[in-house]
Amino acid sequence: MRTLPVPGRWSGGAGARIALITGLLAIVSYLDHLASGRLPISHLYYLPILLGAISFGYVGGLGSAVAAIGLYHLTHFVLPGPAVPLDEADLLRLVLFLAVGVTTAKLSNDRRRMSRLARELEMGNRELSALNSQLTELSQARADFVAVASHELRTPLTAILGSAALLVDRPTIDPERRSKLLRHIHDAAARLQNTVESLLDAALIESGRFSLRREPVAVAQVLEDCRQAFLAIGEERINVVNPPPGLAFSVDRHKLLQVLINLVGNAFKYSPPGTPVDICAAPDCEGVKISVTDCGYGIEPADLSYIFERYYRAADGRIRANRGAGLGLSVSRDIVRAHGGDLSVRSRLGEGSTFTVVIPAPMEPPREVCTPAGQKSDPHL
Amino acid sequence: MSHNSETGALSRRLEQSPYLLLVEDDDALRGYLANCLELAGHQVGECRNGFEGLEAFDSRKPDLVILDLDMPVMSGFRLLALLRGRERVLRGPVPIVVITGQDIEEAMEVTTIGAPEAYLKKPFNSQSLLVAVDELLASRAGAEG
Repeated sequence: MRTLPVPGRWSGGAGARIALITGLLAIVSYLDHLASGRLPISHLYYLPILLGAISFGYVGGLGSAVAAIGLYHLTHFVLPGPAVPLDEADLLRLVLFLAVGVTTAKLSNDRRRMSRLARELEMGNRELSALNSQLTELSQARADFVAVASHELRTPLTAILGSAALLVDRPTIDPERRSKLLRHIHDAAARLQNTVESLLDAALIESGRFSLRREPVAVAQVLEDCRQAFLAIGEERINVVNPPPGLAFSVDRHKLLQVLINLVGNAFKYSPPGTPVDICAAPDCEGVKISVTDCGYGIEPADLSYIFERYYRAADGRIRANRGAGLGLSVSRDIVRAHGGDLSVRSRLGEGSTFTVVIPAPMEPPREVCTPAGQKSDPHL
Repeated sequence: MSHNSETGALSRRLEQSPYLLLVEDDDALRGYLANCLELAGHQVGECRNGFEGLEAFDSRKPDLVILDLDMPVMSGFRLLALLRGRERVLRGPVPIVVITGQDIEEAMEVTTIGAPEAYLKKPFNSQSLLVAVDELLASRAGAEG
């Protein structure tokens, strides 16, 4: 029956070490024989004994001590040579061989056990510390989510509550101001509705329960729906570049419209009045590509990398909510990714930005030129 | 509305009404704030984002700036720091009122670089805003003699 190897003891070099110990014993006893008691060669026996004890614990220590005793006896009292009677020094020496073997073995075993315990302790500590930082991140992320959400809700609420209060306090306010304030209440409420939807989407995405209701939709129709949504609030500078008429895809129409409205709304916000915002759609080898382009201020390169994140890691290592960007862009990207696609941005300061949505086409026949989209849909973001 | 802002508005119509710069990306909120301030007799320059805010600040020095910390692309924090820089180099101190949905303590933590003269946490009512604006304008007028 094979015994399991004890780590650190019967490790790879066991055979080599046995050979070394045996060799040392042989050499020492030979030298001892040659010296025939004139030089204290017998001290050299301690070498293989120590080595045996350190390498193989009690077994090695005792084994090599006994072997040393045997060889000593052989050399001094059996082999031909000058007859030297057994005396107290010899006996003491033999006892010392044993003692050294056993003591060294014990010390070596203890040391080995302690270092194993220390290793296990360290591993345990590392696991605990990893779990701890995960927990901290999660709870910070949850707190930051609440903060992001609350600012997104508080902004329209301020407009609604404030405007309504002004109207209540001033019944004789002039009609033009009155209709402006009513408009603000309406628009803020619409934004609030959007925010609530985004928050619910974000919560569903985070908990992995987000799902799409896909249906075949003409691309041109979605773009037109988006344009109409903005015309309805008086924003006319949206420019739909005609998409190919037959182009269709399978998407959650409501959610995709949400994404486009978010992108176009941002484009308006970040470009000077009077400049157009273009939406165009085209097929490409990955599927359908929809781009929203503005001639606005552009986005700082440093910000580009975290513009889609809900949270980012600040210089001091803490996770901070990406309060400025709010939910819109991060939820938009999550929705597009849930379709198996991706949302990306290209931007030049002073020239403008282009946000690009790519929705992969399902079940395309294999093409030689392009590889099909390899995007993984991952709602668990 | 309290009497304070009514009489404030009246007295302002008699002299040059203060010019306030409002930097707020949310259209509805910006519209409401502009209306509220104009009703109290102020002139309001509306800016939809930090870039427009900087341009407007450079082209005409306002008596007071109201800016939202929670703006995307150019955040209110960055705008605040940039405005303070311009103050020092070009135009002298301008009181800044910051509005935010964050907790005031957290906002204060981050904005020590260009600490604003006042903070308002959303949602706030017109009263709080107008009182803060009036106080800052008055103290500045007092300082200038």
